[in-house]
Amino acid sequence: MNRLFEYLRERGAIREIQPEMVKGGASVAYVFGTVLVFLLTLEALTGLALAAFYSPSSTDAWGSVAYIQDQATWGWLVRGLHHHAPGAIVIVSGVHLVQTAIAGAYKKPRELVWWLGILLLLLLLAWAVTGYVLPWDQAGYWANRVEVGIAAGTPGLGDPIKQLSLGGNDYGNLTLTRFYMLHVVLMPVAVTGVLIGHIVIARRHGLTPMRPKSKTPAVPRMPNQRVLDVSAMAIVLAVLLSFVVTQGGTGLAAPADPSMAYDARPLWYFRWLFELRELAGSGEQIVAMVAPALVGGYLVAMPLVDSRWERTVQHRRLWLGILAGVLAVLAALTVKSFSRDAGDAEYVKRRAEADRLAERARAIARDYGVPVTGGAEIWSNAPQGRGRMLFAKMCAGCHDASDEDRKKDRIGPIIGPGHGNREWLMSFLKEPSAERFWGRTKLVLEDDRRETKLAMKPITTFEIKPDQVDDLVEFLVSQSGEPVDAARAARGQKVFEKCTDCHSVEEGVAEPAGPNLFGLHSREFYISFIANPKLPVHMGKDKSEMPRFDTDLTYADRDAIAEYLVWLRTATKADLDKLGPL
Amino acid sequence: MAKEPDRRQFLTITTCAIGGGVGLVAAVPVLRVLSDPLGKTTVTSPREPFDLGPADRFIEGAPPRKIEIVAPVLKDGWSAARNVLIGAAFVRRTGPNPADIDARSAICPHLGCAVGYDSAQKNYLCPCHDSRFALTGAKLSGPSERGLDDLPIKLGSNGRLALTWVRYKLGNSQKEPA
Repeated sequence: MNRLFEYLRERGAIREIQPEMVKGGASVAYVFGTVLVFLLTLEALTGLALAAFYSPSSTDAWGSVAYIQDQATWGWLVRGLHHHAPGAIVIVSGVHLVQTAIAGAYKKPRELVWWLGILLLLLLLAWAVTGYVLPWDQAGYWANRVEVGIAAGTPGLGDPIKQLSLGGNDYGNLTLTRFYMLHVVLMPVAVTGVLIGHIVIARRHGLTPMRPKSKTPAVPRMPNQRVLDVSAMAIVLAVLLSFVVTQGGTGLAAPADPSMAYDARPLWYFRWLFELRELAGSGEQIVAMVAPALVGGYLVAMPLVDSRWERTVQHRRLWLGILAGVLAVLAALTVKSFSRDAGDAEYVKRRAEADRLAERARAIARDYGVPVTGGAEIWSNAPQGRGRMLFAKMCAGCHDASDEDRKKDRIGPIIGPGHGNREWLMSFLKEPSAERFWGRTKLVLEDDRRETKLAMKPITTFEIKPDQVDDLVEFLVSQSGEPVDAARAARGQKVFEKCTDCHSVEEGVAEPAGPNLFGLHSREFYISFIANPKLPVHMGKDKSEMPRFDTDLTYADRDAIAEYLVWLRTATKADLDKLGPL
Repeated sequence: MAKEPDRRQFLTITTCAIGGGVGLVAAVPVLRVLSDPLGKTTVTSPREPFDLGPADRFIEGAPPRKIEIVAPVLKDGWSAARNVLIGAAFVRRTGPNPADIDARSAICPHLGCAVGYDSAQKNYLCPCHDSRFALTGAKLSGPSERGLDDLPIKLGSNGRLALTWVRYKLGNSQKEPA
């Protein structure tokens, strides 16, 4: 082993390394910088694993992150570490910074170390911003819109900044490839470069001893200081891991959807700025630019204003007091922002709804995959998803009776599980004007004032025997293409001859008195009916209040609704509930 | 009190132990995630046979017809797409009966390039390494270890042909489903 080292040392032309000494003895106070390097290394490692799965495109980003989160073994853990370690970095950086300030370690000749440290902190915060948008979920997407919005408020440079951030005029593929480049190439290189400068210069100056007059001799960094360093790393990692595990990793909101409102909140270490903007009201744009500049400006100015050689705290009360004041304000604003949200019942409700949507989207992604058209279309990949969504949007107002409000407002026949099946046809034939059928439509409501009735009369008023009605039902079911008892359907066709005054089953034949029943309740029937119920082959212009939908719904949309309606025919309420909420 | 060299050695060992532990704990989840694809089906393959239409659409003596294999639903990692082109097969009528039909995967058994039909020489040629295969699929020349793989194809009672898509392992002299 020693010979191998000797070989490498000689061939690598490495001079004998002098053990680095720690003045005034090892101290727990010196571990923070090393812990930061450790946390950054952890970010690099976990980032590497995530990059093996992540796809920076607006259609795939959310799906790939959902895959890491819910399908790759331990993916949630790695992603959780990658998300929460920056929080730890912010906290440890804060300690590192305050400690340096208290020790007066930024004073001549160490100003450069301090300034590089401040630059590092800024770069780390910017790095976090570039990462938060990458999952392309509602949380990251909307937070990024706000962040780019702030940057775009820069006087004179707003437009170029926006175009360069987004990779163009709007959010899309180029936005993600750009932020991905920043996040995994530029920021790591920049941070590593500045970090090396920070560490090399700090090492050249050596530590600023905690107790300058102490007689404790200098000790070698390895192992005296290193044992404390690795212990601190172990503690930080243990705390971080337990936090991530108890949190179940980090969240993933529903896929980015420009049409869906979302309560955007920044990462917790930007909450102070968020709160400040809330308080500033109309002056938010200015506050968002000026406040960070003031805080950063003071940090940069500290070595210049506090420039006397004196390093004891007693002589620097003013400058340390300002720093303490600034940090206290930041902390207070952060707490205020979180407590404001927690106390806002409406916000809590919206958040819960957003969480429910996120859960549902992830369940669909897990079970059925994400559509290639993008995460925002995830709902259409659930069974009957597209049809149900369109039905809920376009049809439910008049036809749905699944909740109390809907029951009250409904003005059309109920369409629900079992719609158009044998039982439904039987009930309909017996009492077409029943509340659940034509009862709330003008067919019934206006019939009181008319001589020629619009609504069909009960089947019992025709000369049809009860068992003939069963046959008729079988015949009508056969129109939908569903398998039927052929003999009974044939008998039913004979019975139907008593209906032909008003109804035809010949394709395209319009009877003035009643709708054509060709293909009744089949997919094609629904597609045509939804397109325009006022066509002569359907209800005709007098009998239907339902608007035509061929202008609002494409053929594919109507087909999706039709597919759903056909599915509904054989479904029960339990089947529908099993699909879950939309 | 322990002697200084002993103390130093103890501290060195402790440092390495804790440091090693920290490194291990940090590396294990990362390695676990990176090895997630091992043994996992991340891209699905259709198992249902494809309908090629009536058997009499294939004529004895005609050159093989290239059939594009389109998966009705393809799950690829996180995404699910409809009607995805995933490969091709050559189908050829070999005799007078409708059941005399031969289907060959267009994937070269050597290293998986797509094989084309050479209408001049009336055989198949892989453009990557010049493996040649006869109409029957038998290997004629080139580096491939075996002939073109035949695919299960069946004549149904309705007179229509049904082709099943299978991917085989590459490079072997015997075909073996991948």
